[in-house]
Amino acid sequence: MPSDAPARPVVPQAGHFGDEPARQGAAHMGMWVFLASEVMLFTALFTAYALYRLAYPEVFRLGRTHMDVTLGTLNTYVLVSSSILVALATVAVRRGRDLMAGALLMGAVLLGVCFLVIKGAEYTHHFHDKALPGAHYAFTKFAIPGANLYFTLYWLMTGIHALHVVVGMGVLSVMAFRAMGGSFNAAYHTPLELGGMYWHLVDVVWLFLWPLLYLV
Amino acid sequence: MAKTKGVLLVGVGLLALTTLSYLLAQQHLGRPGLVLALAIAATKVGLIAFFYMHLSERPGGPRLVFATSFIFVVILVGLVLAEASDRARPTMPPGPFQPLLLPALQGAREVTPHREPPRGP
Repeated sequence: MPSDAPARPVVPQAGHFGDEPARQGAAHMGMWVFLASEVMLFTALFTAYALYRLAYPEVFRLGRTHMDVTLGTLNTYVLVSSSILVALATVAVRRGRDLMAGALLMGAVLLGVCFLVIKGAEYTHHFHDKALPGAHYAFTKFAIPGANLYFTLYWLMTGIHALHVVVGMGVLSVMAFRAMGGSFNAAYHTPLELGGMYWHLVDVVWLFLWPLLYLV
Repeated sequence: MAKTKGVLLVGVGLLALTTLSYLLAQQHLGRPGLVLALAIAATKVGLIAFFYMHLSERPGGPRLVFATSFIFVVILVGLVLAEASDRARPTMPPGPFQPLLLPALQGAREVTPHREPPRGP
């Protein structure tokens, strides 16, 4: 939220660049452009999914019967809840409640850990079934042409997403420590907003992965 | 306090839509189910982008980037699907992925569906 209060710039070197609202606007704009590039990365994967679903509709319809829908759905609730905590942290820091903001962010990081543990349990199950990507696929209960494409895309899409979860947890941890250390206040908290936006993107990507891989 | 209530209200909406997606999937609606699930996901993304990612507070550039990203996604996925669905079936990639050709599946011949050779008259 743009603020009229005098404050330090978004980055110390940006003092020459306009006033504080202008600097905040530029920071948000830059973050959105970065997030758009991330969207394009995942769009390439979703396009591959769409093309192969068109080529093997029955395989992709049957694919979800070999997924653990309960764990996938649980992970969706976990990620959505973590997004709510991050949004609440932004509200808290705008009110000058640094410790509360830090605690909420650490709560979101813990939920990120939960997500990875659940995902790890799923991966272990697929590994034992030999439902592996590419030429390593040897899942005998689902051995029809195109089945290994489904699981190759599954590993690729959820793997790259999990990598983003790890990066997001790192970003949120840094923001939590900075918040608790008093680095932010009601007038200066743009880095926390931007870090939170990255975490929300991680949530957004999962909101599409979940129905496509587990539900329909 | 109003801001906190707003965040929580959006959060409840997101969790409710997640539950709705799950319940609809149990109905096995087929192709309409796929469209519904994607529409619900898009609604949730709209809520997150507008309220949690601060688009509601930042008109102009960020909203333009968001809208452009959405249009690019539609163009990329849409054009690929339009081209592929208009292609003659024999030109669709059968994939070098036939399970019997995979070295890891050499012992799985018995569970792989196969066609009986046509019987003579």
